[in-house]
Amino acid sequence: MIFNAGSYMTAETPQQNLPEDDHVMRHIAKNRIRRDASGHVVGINSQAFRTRPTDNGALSVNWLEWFRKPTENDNIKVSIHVLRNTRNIGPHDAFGIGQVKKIKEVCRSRSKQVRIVHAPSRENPAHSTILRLEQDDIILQEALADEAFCQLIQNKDI
Amino acid sequence: MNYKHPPITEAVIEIRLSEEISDSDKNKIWRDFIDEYPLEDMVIAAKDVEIKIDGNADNATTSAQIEKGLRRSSTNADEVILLWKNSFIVSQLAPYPGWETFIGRFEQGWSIWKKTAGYKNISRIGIRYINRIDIPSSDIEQPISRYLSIFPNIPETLGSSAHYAIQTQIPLAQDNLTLTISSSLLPTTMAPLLNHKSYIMDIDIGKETNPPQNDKAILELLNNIREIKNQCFESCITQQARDLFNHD
Amino acid sequence: MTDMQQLINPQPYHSCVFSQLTKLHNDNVSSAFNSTAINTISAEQTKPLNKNCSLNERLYEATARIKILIAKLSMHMEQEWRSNLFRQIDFLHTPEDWQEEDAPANTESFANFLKALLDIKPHLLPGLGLTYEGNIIAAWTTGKDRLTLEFLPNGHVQWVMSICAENEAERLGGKVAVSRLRERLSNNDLQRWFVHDSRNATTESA
Repeated sequence: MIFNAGSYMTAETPQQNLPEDDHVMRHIAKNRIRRDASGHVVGINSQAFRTRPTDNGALSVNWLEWFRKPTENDNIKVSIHVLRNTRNIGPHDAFGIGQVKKIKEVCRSRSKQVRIVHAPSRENPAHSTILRLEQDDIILQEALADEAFCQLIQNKDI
Repeated sequence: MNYKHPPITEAVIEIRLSEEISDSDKNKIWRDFIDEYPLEDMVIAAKDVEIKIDGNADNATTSAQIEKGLRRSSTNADEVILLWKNSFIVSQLAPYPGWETFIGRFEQGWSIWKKTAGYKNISRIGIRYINRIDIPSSDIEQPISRYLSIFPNIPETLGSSAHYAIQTQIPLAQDNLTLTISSSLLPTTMAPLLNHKSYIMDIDIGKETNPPQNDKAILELLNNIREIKNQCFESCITQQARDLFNHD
Repeated sequence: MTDMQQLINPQPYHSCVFSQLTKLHNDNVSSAFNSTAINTISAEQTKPLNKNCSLNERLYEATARIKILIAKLSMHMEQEWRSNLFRQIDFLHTPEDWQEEDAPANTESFANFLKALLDIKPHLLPGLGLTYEGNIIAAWTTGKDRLTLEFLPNGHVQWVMSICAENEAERLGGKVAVSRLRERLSNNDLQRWFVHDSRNATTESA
């Protein structure tokens, strides 16, 4: 299933920018996880940050602090739980985590002023999107994979 | 001659019948191969294709009989058997494991086939080897005769071929066999390697006149055909080509 | 397909049922003479996979096409490479964690990958991935340095590299014809990517 950005909101609803210190999580499908030839996970491939034509330029993420759990780990766990219920998450898939401030900084270094906004859906109240990303900017996608989303959690570990 | 890296891209043994087996037998045989060839597939061919043109080509009509064949392959997709109502085919894609392994696979498959199909009159027995000879860019400017002894003779004034295809059929006295050689140069766009020219050497030897009907004679014929195929291949290539198949 | 094309690229006697019906005569059309039927599916490899088939069938067919491509070039690669590529392609096409919207590996993209691989002949094979369109991703990782190649079906390669120098990442990228890839990468210290082993790897294996 692909989330529509802001599917739960009307056109008039102002979209809330996520706080700079908060974090977002992106589902990384197995085939976009970076591996070496022996199959060891070594990171995320830049193509994981390419939007599909149906995404209308909005990259789906989950806002971790929305869950307001006592610890960051709890937020991660509950977010993964929600994603498992709303998306097809395979045993070899993973989740990349990045800080809002860092993501924006990385984008600014490529002269892109992105917005990261809360776009809840009925099934996933923490759903958010990164707006104004360009699909063809491979260097920005590489920077997001390599520098912004620097934490990777494998589905099988949670 | 055994090469370290044989250029064979596909080797095929085909037993063709003058009568058809039933659909139920075909399906049973297909199931019997499940252990050796777990991947299954169905294939379609058009038989007896007819094109009728009545004065105006725009009004041309075509008709064809559709036949479904069954295909099974090994997990690596390189060992294949193909069942049609009137033929049994064993195929080996690269890497070629050698004749002993290949003929062994045929023998095993043929015995499974016969167990269900029983005796059927054989109308043709054939072996076909398709070789691709990849010549590196450092030698691209060399004349083709450096590698092959079969190629089209083109007047020098016309320059060299970007691609070509030739075919010849030669009746062989031994065993009343028919040898068909197709030789071609792939266009650059179809060559699988960069900075190489790829030549195809397709050798087919079949027996249609009084093909043997019993297993011993079939195997003897196949072994003979294989010897002739090897001689044919060796006579169509040069030492420079052989060196390409023996690199480290 | 013209007669000339059929002759130079031996055509399948059969075609996959998932593909369109091949316009072949009963006996071998690649030959003007009656000859032994062959088994290659070269012509079918360029045809799109039939989307009406089940996911398992589509993944199986795509895997078989890729394995046949690898087989056809096996005389130019070590057995170890072949086994590794088979294992990686099997892993990429595992049905249980397949994303429904994704396309299986594109055979033209994979053919371009093989061309590049056999041209560059790296000491280390890359880790493979797939874009959602089915393009092959080849990734080499050396410490914090990364080289990622995406093989497009049209004979081009989209490349991007990250090189970490003095704690700062320098990134370069572009698009180049597969025939010029080795030359293009040579400008950026080819050996950096292809001779060292990856580090910082976690323990999961495909």
